[in-house]
Amino acid sequence: MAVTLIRATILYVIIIFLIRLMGKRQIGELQPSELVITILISEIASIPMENNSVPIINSVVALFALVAYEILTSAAGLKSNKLRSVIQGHPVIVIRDGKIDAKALKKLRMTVNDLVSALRQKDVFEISQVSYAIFETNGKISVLLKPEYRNSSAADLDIYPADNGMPFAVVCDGEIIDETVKDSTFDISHVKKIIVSSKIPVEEILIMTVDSKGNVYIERKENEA
Amino acid sequence: MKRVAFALILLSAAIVIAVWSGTVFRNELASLSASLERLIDISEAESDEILKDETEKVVAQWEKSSKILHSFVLHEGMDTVEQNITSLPLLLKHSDRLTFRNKCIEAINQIENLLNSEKISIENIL
Repeated sequence: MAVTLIRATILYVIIIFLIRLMGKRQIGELQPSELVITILISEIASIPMENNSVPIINSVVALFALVAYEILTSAAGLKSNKLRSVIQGHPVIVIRDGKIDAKALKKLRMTVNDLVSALRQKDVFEISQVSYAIFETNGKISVLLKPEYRNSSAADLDIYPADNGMPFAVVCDGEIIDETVKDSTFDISHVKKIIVSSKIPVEEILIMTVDSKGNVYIERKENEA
Repeated sequence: MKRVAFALILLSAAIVIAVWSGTVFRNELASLSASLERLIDISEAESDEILKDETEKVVAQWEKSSKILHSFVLHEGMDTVEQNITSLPLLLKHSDRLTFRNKCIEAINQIENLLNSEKISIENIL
């Protein structure tokens, strides 16, 4: 049992390191090659964990090689469009000006039902409203509605509201987050001054956000603010 | 760029580990096989005392090698070799020399099989 625990710990550390090295991606945004690598990593790592007679080094060599290949091919893909197209495929336009491209659908081995279902998930229920629908390489659909069906923006209405920028959470759970402070337009001494002027000890702050216009929002722990 | 450098380091590490483990595996097993063959020769010509000493040396060599070999090869693959080699001192004590030699030959064959299973060949890769 102790051996299993130690092996699991070693593999955990290695896998976390490798996954971090592969970069941040949501499961739904994985490219086909990344999905394959992710499945393979879990599969290869599980073998020595469930069977102590399998040398851990065998799995480690395979994991190192797979992750290295994945990173190197994606890096090579950045340099070459052709290679990227071979590895990841390319986006396919399935609707043009409200008309379904049956050939493209057939190429993707998708039915009209699959297309309609994907559109519904994008809140589009009328194919005729679609200017372009494109199946991306990660299997998701991107939809561009015809201008008359698009949501109007503030600019359409000639309204230009002030841009306050993004609020940065500079204090979380009673702790000043140095990295977020750096990302914001404030410096750490300014943030500390705001905290002092709020008369709330920093350890009692649940969250404090600041934006580029100087707007500050503070919430005390246990909703005492 | 940093990520690519890390990937190259990982790939190099994988290659180095694979080559190094393969070399260690081959050398250790070849040396064991040679010791077992020498043991067969000794069993045909030398006294009980010399044979006993040499057998103990081979068992000690196995115990030393098995530590590193177990980290490269499926433990099941090593079990039969281990059983044959570690049984040699008892065989020497309670059995005749022919049975002893047969056990040595069996161990040599199993080592040969292990070496063949790790060779870079089409049948092993496929």
